[in-house]
Parts: sequence; structure tokens; C-alpha cells
Amino acid sequence: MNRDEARDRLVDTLLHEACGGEEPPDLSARVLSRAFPNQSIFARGKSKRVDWRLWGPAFGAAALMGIVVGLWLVLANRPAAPIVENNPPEKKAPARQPQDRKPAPQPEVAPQPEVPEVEDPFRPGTIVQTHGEPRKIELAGYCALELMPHSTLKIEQAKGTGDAHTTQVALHAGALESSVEPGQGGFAVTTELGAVAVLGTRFMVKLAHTDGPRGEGNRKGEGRRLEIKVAEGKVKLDAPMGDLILNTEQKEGGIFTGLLVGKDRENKNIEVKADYDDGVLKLGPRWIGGMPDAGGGPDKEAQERIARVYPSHRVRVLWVRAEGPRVAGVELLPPEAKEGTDEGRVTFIGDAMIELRTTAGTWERYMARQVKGDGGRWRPDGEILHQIERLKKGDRVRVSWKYNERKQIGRIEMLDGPREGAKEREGRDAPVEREGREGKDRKEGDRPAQPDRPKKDRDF
Amino acid sequence: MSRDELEALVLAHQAELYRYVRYLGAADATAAEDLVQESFLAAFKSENAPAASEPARRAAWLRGIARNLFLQYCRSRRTSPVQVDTQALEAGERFWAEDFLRGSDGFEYIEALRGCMERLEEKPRRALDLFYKQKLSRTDVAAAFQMTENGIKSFLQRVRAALGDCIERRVKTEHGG
Repeated sequence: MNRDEARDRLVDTLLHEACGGEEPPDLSARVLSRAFPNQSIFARGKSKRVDWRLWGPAFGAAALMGIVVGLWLVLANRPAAPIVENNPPEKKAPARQPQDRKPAPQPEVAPQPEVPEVEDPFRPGTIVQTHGEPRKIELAGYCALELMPHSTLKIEQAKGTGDAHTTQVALHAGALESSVEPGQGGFAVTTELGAVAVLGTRFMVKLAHTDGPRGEGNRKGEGRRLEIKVAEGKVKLDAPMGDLILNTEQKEGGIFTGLLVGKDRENKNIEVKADYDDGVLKLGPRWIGGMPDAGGGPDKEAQERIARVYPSHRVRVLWVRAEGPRVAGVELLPPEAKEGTDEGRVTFIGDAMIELRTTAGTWERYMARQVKGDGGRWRPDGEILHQIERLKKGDRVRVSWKYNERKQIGRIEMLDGPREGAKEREGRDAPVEREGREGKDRKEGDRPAQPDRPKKDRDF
Repeated sequence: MSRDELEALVLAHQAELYRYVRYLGAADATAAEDLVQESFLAAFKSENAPAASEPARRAAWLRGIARNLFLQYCRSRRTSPVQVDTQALEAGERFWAEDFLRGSDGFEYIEALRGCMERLEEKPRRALDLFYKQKLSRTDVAAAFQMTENGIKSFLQRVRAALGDCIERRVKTEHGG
């Protein structure tokens, strides 16, 4: 290996870390568990010769008795099921169509007074589900949790149990309010979107539900929204696109996913159709460092992250509230697979592209696939343009796509026409727009125009 | 070595050791994690560990263990991920110690890389984004740039070389190297 090769390898390794998020993992638990495995209960010294003819039947009888007693003890004391349910599930209402969704309500920090006290011990591995009522959970003697109605939580580890040095739960759905005594130990809430770590604080974590199955080839965790509200102390949210410290001054933030529909040339603002809502959010970078005369200003790191995302892509946004939502981090969300299918309603038709509200509750934009035309120039496929021209707003379609920088349409399959009442609901929860259909000013091979929709600062 | 001592050793050196085995050529993250774990377990069993008061010597000792394990790992595989021999690995170690660590922990080098990436023009930045962040294959990145696979391979190599030059300039300017 010469010097140039060594340098190339080093830069390659560091780029995987800096760009690809392949940061060195924490292997301490794994190394320690292998270095200090549980000691055997049987001594390993030299064994004396045993007369099995004399002691064999006695050992056999004792072993059989031991097995029977052991089995009885295990069966008699085993919990009924690893899933703890707070109360019986309510009758399920008919599933709502994604278009019927309304913006999710704000999480409330104030605890509800009529929460029943629960004495059950919660051991690691237990999954707790609530339906109509909240549930109190005490963990490791210093974490008082309250799982809100219609929520699911898994207890991953509790300090003092086994080798655990900290307490950790995974929130799969719903909302959790936590109160952690300072100085007693660590506490973390993990979600599909990011991990919230705290030391001595009271805070609420809320993970909004998806409306349906994600389409083939898409990422896990899409269409979800994580909200955190801090009532006391300090919380750190670790996400792939950055960290966020929340405290009593800057007490609200989180993560949401959506479709990036616009960005200004100076990389100062982005416009995102958040999956949990129907409008367009306009967000700028967060402000850090105090007043301008004290050296404060827009977060340069957030601006750099904004510079690295492109419209028509799905994005994940780390936000903090400061007189409205601001960007603390943003990253592109390419699909997991190179090709797949999505189903949904057509909400926007542009030149050589469409947008869907998918059955998974996400916004997606698809471009007509590019083919080589005369002279070797790339242009949108005429057959796909023809399929797009036949679409109407509200059509329910299945789109087969391939990912090459963006989702490119391979085929559009009509499932049914516009649903009844769609027209009446337009503007409220199913914004449908059409742009440049006449094609008067469209040239072959031109990039599709970005939708020129009203830009507004929407609140969450 | 007690449990606390081992934990302290792992926490202090695992990040560097992980980077190091990736740099040597561990095929993927899983292989790198396995090699790092085995290195610490070998260190745990060893009676020749340098004192905790000499972190640089400890780091070099751990890298030596990792290097030997990596060599065994490559020899045990029918198709080695990279062509390695003792001399090549020692040359890699010299570059790591003298150019990357520079008597420290490599932080300056990593910070310089971040600074240099900010100054990249649109095309190389996009190529890095597609290849390293979005993890597209070379074929797909080549298609996105309408280049051949060999063309994009050379292009990425040139980008890395330019970044390497920029890092060295920065490190020398900022730290008087």
C-alpha cells in the first residue's frame, strides 16, 4: 500500500462516516458480555470418581424430581402473556381514508387526574398497550411513565435488571409522558424516527400513527411524526440528521416526514408537504447563539443540510419551535428499494409529473421516466406523458416506479375514478392542483416546472 | 483486567479501532464490528497491556492486535476483500499514525474533511451524496451522471484525492504541520 492508496482508503472510510452515517458503533455491552459471561453454577475442579452403581438411581430420581418441580414453578408463576393491556379494546371504528385525516391534535403535557394506579411489575421485554385509558408505569424506581390512550410501548431495559446500566423503552405508537428523577440513572425513549435521551426531566413524547400500509419498496417509519414537549429539565433528541437539545426555554420540537416541494436559491427556506397535514409548510433554519449583536444568527449547519436536499424528494425534518417551526436538520429519504409500487389518490398533476396522497398516508411525487430521444437527448417518455394526461384529480391509481435520483413512473394503473364528494372536500383535506396541462410552453426534455402554489407559514 | 478496566478500555478506543479496521479493508460494518470485538477480547486476555496512563501506546497496541486479526480474517476467506500482506498493513499503519492521528486522535483530520466538503462544487458533492449517503451502486451513480461505471469510479477517486489534498493543506495551515 503506497501513501496515495492509504490516503484514498482513509478518505473513503471517513466519507462513509461523514456522509453515510456509518459512525463507529458502541460495542462495549457486547464485549463485556463476552468477556464476563455468567459463571456456571457447577464447580470446575477435579471431580472425584463416583460409584454410579450406588449413586446413579438416587441421582436419577433427584434429577427427575427437580425437573418436575422446576416445570411446575415456571408454569405456575409465568405471566399470562408478554403483552399487558390496560383495558379491552374498544369497537373499532371503520378505517378512515387517508384523505379524511385531520391535523393531529397537539400533545398535552398536563397529566390526566383520573389515571388508575397499577402495581404490576414491568420486566424488560414486556409490551404495554393502552386503549381507552392511560396507564402508569414505574420503572427502576426513578422513571414514572404515563402511557396515553391508544399507545404501544415496549420496555427494553430497566436499570438494575441484568447488566442494564440505564433504562430504555421503545415507543411504537401513541404518546408517553415521562418524569425522571435526576441523578438516579439514564433514561431513553427510542422511536423509529429518533431516540430521546434524558437526565432528570419531565417531558412528553408523541409518535403519530400511520394510516395504512406503506407501499412496496418504501422506508420504515415514513408517514410518522415525533413530537416532544419538555416541561422540566433537558432532553436530547438524537436523529440521523442531527441532534436537538430541548429545555424549558426551547421546549418543543421533533421529527416529521414529508415531500419537499420547494427550496429557494439561497438555501434559506424549504417548503414541505408534511405527511400529517395537507398544506405546505415553509420553514427556515433555526436561530442559534442569541441576539444578532451577541453573535446569534441562522444555524449554519442547518443551512448546509438544507443545501443538500432537492425538491421532489421525500425528506425527514428535525424541527424546533421558535416563533413557528424551524429546521434543525433535514435529510433526503430515498426509498429502501430501487423499485416498487404505491397506491393512492392523485392530488396534483404537473408537466411530466404527478403527486399522490398514498394509502400509507404519505405525499409522493413521481416523474415521468426519462428515455433517450433523437440526438441522444433525454426526455420524458411520451407513453407516460399520455397516461398522465388522462388522469384526473382524485383518481385512485397504482403507480409502479423505479428510483433513479427520483421516483420515475414505469406504469400507472387506474383503480377507480374520483371518489364521491372529493370535489367538496378539496381545499380542506385533499388539495388537488393541475399545472401546465395545455403544454403550450412545454418543450421536450424540459425539466418539469415546480408547482407554484401559495406559500404560507403554517403552524403545527 | 477487571470489568471496569475493560469497559474503560473499550469506551476509550472503540471508535478509533472501528475506523481503523474499516480503513484496513474490512468488507462491511458487520465484519468491522466482529474484528473490533475480537481485538478487545484478545486484549482482555493479554497480560502485556500498556498502562492506562499511556493512551497513545495503548491505542498502538490495540491497532497491532486488530491488524493481526485482520490478516487472519483475510487469509481465512477464500476471496479476500483486499490484497493484504504484512508490509502493506504496516505501510497503512504508518500513514494512520503519522498523517491521520498526528499524535492525537485524528479529530483535526476529520474536522478538516468536513471543512473541505463544504467547499466542494455541485457535481462532486452530488456524486458523494449519491454514492456515500444514498448508497447507490456505482452503476446507478454512473447512470445519474450519464457516465460509464469506470468513469464514475475515476471521478470519485479524483474527488477523494482532491479532498485529501485539501485536508493536508488545512491540517498543515491550522496546526503548523
